[in-house]
Amino acid sequence: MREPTFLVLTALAGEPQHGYAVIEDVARITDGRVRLRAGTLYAALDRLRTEGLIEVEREEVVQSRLRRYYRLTGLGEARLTEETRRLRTQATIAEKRLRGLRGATA
Amino acid sequence: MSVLEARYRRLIGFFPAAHRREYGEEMVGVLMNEARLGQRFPGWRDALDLVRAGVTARLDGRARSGRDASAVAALVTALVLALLPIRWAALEGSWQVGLLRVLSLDMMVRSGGWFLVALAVVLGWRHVAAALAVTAGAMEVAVLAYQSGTGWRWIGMGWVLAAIPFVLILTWAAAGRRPSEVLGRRGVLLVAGGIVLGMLSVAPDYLRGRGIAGSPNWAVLAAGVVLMAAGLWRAGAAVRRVLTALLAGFAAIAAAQVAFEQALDVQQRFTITPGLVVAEVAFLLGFPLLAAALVAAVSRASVPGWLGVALRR
Repeated sequence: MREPTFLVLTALAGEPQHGYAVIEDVARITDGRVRLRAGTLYAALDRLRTEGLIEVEREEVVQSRLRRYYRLTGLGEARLTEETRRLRTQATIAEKRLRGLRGATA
Repeated sequence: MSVLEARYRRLIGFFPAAHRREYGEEMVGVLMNEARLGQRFPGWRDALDLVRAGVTARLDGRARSGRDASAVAALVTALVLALLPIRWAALEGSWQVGLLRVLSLDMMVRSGGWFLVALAVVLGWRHVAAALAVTAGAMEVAVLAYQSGTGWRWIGMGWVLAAIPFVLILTWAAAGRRPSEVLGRRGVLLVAGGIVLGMLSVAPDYLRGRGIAGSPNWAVLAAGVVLMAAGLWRAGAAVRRVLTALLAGFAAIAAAQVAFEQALDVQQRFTITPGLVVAEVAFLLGFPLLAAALVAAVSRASVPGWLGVALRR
């Protein structure tokens, strides 16, 4: 799973959000490191919808602009859980080795 | 609409039409949300991102259509090849003789191989389907090699030999996509039923006690064609365009055989010359390529290319 995909799923794991809110949320999650752009965001949303990981919760028109709220599906939740576990396992291994490295040099 | 919005919309034109319909307004909303007061030009990062994501979506879409169309075409062509030998049983005088013919070894070997290919395609087993297509092709060649008769049987079966690599490429290009994912389960049943009816449209004649059948039963043939078309129609428009070109190419292989035999007056010839073989190969290669290219060109003429869309918007 690529990083933008992971971040979009993470953003939608909170509550249903519209596109612009996802961009803001991802920026918040990553401490401003990642600011998704419209092209990347909507390519990801489209792919995630096709794969059944997210779905449209509701639509609104705000200031004559269409706003769609997306939410995680059950399948999306499962995939995000799986990916999170994978990342955690890898991070744990990295941590352990780094500790060993520090222990050796100390 | 502001100048900036119009410029953003032009950039969104790089996305496929379906994507624009679905997300165009939302994307404009997001982009305008981030715009500064009085901004007239899109930020270059946003512009670059839209072009990159748009072109990628188009390429992905095209690759997906190709895969989907290949999966369906692989099923259709494998079924046709499976039913091809069986079809001749219908030309026997009675069903008993017909049955004997179906149960004969070379018939079972030829048909069976392609039925297994069709099954693997339905299940989306790419490697198995391709391996089986190689095997089924080898069995066709083996049966031809062991049959009695002159070299003319190779000339007469040239189009079947040409069809073998065609099916093999399709099973590979399908990349594990299942036809039911493209047409729905009912669509696959419609297509399969249509092919069976169409291919066996010569059969009912002897069931009605008319003896050896000459021409197909047109009503059954028409019913088969309608069923098949109804099944194939369930694919999306983009897939349908590729599929039409592929099936036109396949049909052209059979047409090429007929055209070759008539153009070179094969019935009147006594010896197989190298020139004759070269001519047959040229017909069997040229016809399908021409037909597929023609259909593709005609269907593309009605849909402007992505660059055209992007520039016009």
